[in-house]
Amino acid sequence: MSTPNPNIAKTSMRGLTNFISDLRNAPSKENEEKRVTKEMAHIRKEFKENKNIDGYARRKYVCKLIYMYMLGYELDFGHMEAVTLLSSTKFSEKQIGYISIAILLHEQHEMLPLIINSFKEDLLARNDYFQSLALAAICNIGGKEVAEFLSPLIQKLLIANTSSPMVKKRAALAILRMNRKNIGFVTPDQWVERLVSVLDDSDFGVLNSLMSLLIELASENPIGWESAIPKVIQLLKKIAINKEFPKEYTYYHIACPWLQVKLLKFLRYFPPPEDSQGGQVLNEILNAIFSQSESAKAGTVNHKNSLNAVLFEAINLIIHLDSDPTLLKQTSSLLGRFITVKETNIRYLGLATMSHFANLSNETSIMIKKYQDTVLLSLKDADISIRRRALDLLYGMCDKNTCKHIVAELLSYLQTADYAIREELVIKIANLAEKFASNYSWYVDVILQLITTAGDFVSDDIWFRVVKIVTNHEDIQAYAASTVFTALQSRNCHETLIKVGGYILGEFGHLIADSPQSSPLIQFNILHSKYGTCSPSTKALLLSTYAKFVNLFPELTQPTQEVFKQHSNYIDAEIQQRACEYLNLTSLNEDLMQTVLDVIPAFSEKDNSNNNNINSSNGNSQDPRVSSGSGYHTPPPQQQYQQPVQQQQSNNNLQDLLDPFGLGLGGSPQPAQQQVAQYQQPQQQIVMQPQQIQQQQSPQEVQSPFGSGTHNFSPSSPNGPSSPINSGGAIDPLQLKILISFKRLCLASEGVLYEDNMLQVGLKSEYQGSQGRLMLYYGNSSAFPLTNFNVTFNSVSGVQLQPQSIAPVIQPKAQIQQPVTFSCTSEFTETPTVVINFLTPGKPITIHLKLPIIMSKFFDPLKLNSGDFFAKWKTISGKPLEIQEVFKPTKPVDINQFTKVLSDGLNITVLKGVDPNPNNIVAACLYPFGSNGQPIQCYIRIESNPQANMCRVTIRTQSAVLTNTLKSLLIAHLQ
Amino acid sequence: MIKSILIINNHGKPRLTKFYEYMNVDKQQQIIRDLFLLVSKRADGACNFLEVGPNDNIFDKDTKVIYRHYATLFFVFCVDSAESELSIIDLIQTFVESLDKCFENVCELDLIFHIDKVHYILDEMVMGGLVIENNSTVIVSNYEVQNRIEKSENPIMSVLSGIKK
Repeated sequence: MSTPNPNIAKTSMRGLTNFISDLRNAPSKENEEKRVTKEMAHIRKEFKENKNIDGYARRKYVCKLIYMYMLGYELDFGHMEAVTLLSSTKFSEKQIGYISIAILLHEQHEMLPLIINSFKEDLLARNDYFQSLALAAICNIGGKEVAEFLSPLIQKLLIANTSSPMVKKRAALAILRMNRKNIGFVTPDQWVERLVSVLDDSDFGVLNSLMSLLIELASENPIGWESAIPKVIQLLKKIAINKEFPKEYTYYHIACPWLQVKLLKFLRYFPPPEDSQGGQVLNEILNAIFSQSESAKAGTVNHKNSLNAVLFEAINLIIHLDSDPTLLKQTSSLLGRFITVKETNIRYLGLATMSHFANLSNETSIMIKKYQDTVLLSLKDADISIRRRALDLLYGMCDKNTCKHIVAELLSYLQTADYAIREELVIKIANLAEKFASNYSWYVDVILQLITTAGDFVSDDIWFRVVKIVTNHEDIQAYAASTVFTALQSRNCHETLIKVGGYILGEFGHLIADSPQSSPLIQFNILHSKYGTCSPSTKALLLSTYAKFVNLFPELTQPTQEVFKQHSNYIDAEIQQRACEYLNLTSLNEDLMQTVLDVIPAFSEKDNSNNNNINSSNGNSQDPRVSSGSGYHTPPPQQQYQQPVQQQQSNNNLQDLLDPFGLGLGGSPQPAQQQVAQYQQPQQQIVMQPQQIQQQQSPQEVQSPFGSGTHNFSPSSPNGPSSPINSGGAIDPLQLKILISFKRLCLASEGVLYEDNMLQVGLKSEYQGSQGRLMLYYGNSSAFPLTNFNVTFNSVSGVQLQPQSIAPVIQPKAQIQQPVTFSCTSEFTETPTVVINFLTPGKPITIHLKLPIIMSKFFDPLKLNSGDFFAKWKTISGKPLEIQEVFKPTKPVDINQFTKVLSDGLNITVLKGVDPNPNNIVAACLYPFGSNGQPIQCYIRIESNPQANMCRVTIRTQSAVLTNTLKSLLIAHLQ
Repeated sequence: MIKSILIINNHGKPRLTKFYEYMNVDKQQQIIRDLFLLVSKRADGACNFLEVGPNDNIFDKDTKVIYRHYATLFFVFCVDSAESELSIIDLIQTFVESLDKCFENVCELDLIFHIDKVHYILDEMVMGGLVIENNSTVIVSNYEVQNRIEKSENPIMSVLSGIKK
């Protein structure tokens, strides 16, 4: 493998070879760039000025362009020449033309409509090679228009007897691709018979492509495609049992492994065959495949690979059928063998498949118990892919009896585990420990160990959970207190341990205070020795702990008040505020102090919803009441901890207070720093508390139509324990303005996102396909420079934001820009947020804003006629895929206005003439990025009653998440 | 579905890039770089599958990287979960065998200087991210027919290769 083949070199284009040699010989990247720039200029000139340029030169230049493109050079010309080549009558020119458009164009490219006709001509040409080229191009870049225009033709090519196998197999895939772009265009009633008839084709290449198509269709919706099952089973029998297949499709002694895999896979989309005969044949086939497994022990790598490909697919089918006990048993032992073999690929797949198998039923999970030690061993494999699978499997294998052993193993593995897997590991251990805890002291031990070994990876959710469990279980409180106390002795404590320790000692330190080794003063000293190195939020939490100490141990009054005094002018507003409050609280009135600082009552069990937080591996909160952006997790500790203070103030309302806010754990956090300027008089806080309670009782009123996220904006948010008193619970005008701006930008692509007398934030957005781009403009409207200017972006699951960095200072009357790109990968329910921090002379400012990146920005239009609409409408019904809701618009119903909001603002296609009632709207849209990678169609109906000024929306989609989001969106913007 | 097919040499230089989902040049280059970093540091005996983590900015979550290393080249396929991993491994083998037959003992230089031809061969095997053919005999014979057509259309070259013969 050293010299290029001289024979081929002779036939290629010399200019191209020379150019590539030049680039290869370029001594540096700069030289390469220079050479590329020169060549581009040359080609551009040739294309522009040389009217007599011949096909050969054009081919050569286009090849050069492809080469440069591969190396990462942007091309802004040459597309036209590619199109010219493609419409040539010479095959060699056509071929390179097609190759280059497939590389350079995409389905939304403006040039595409120009070549649809060339596609058509080539499809009609009686030349297999021309037809193949056109079909490949359609498959590579064809969009919706292409699908609409050419699908009848392609369908004919697939079915016609005159088409060669080479054309047929491409036609099948082109149909698949068009169906993806135009979901639902291949319907069973029109297609099933024809497609099933193609299953009789004798060419295995054609069958292979056809099976790809059928699998795709069945994965969308298996109903209607059942008639293919008997033929698929028949084919499998022919290959696996009768061994009838073309010899050239033998791959390393295995009969057409790819086709077998596809046939088996297709069957996974359907329930087991109902007729006993079909079931029996299928069993025979699976047995026949299994019987070959012995030969997988020997042979070349490639032989083993392809044999195992078929085996694994057969196992997947057996797991799906879950019927034959003998086969299941064989599967179990086969998998047991797979996870011990030398080939890592097979071990990997064995572990992955065993996970599915373990989750199948009780019986199957018992069957694989005996492999536990092997799996534990795989956890220490050198290959991270294997370790991940092993972890997953262990997690699934764990039960009451084995959990202690498995958790202990995982904990010991955690000590050496690499960073790539630690976070996942921590979540899984915490989950298992809670799920299978027979006594909670073990649970507390596990979590403390987690914090000690991998504190950085222990999310707030996890430690909130410990605190809550300890609070709710009296029997372990003393144990927890003494355990954390011991843990705190260590010189290097993780900050999370200090938080847990602070909280637990504050609440339950008195339970161990009788022992001279852990007297109140020692407890205080040990906590305070860590104080200096803590982050502000932990400091704030410790201050609360000290206040609690004062209440229980009068002897600590003096040292703690010292601390409070030191902090009464502290730079961090939250800490300063607490210090002042506690200083006053602990010196003013003993009765009040006792009430306020009493032991926290047990958490409401309803708060168990937080359990999900731990369970959801991404750690994002699932409680709809909890803030929407995961980025808001920063301040919760103090809030959470402060809870007792508040609850005592309103002991009677305790339950009411707990629930509406989902207080307790991970409760609605709040931007603490916004209170900076407002907080001046600590005493007022306490005196006026009853009023605050009033505010708290009407949380729903301040909830906006956007539900969950809104209270994030509100500095007067009633949940804030130390929130300054605001007039009567109304929303701050500034916050209202932010809300209105946000709402407007949900419908528009540009505008002002935020404005006050110092800062203006403007926004422009553009969306293309799954990609979006925001340009944020920060304008300083004040007379002084804004320094330490820093913007933090909080992505959400499904939308990853990539901001560019910006300068940290904005001069007076100046503006800076920040581009942010993002791509959408699945449905998302939460709204990405930004936190803007900067310093003005004298004080830090923090602004929390939601970004108007909502699902509707990614909607594609979906035009349907009346028949199609109702056909699809009827296929979905019932919650959660269907949601119906009545709402009362604040303004009189205006159907034209509604139409405008839908079509201009939310990118939803209003379908005219579908609903005869002029007061109703029927609309549809396409969300291109469902979580399974498939586009989701959404159907909407809005009925209005102008007399009563009431509306009802009904939404049906194939995704519960989408349905729900769409409902909230519509109501928010139509109300 | 296959999302991209890349051939990258031991130094991280792309020798063939084919993306079946549109993305701009910068994104393509970033993916090539990131993938190279991921696969090049793996041991020879490690398994040929790599899961894309949430922090890797490579396509979406539903992406698996399946690769094989031959002498100086990495063949890297990014696929979604609908593909059978071992079938893709076999497909890479088919691709290599086809290249080997078409170029008569293929080496990296063949790929560099015949980028057009490599694309022709690839297009016989995969289109739009979907596998058309896994039989290297069929792939090679189609390629050869096309080569003959090309030669007959460009008489100078056919004369040259005639002299050679």
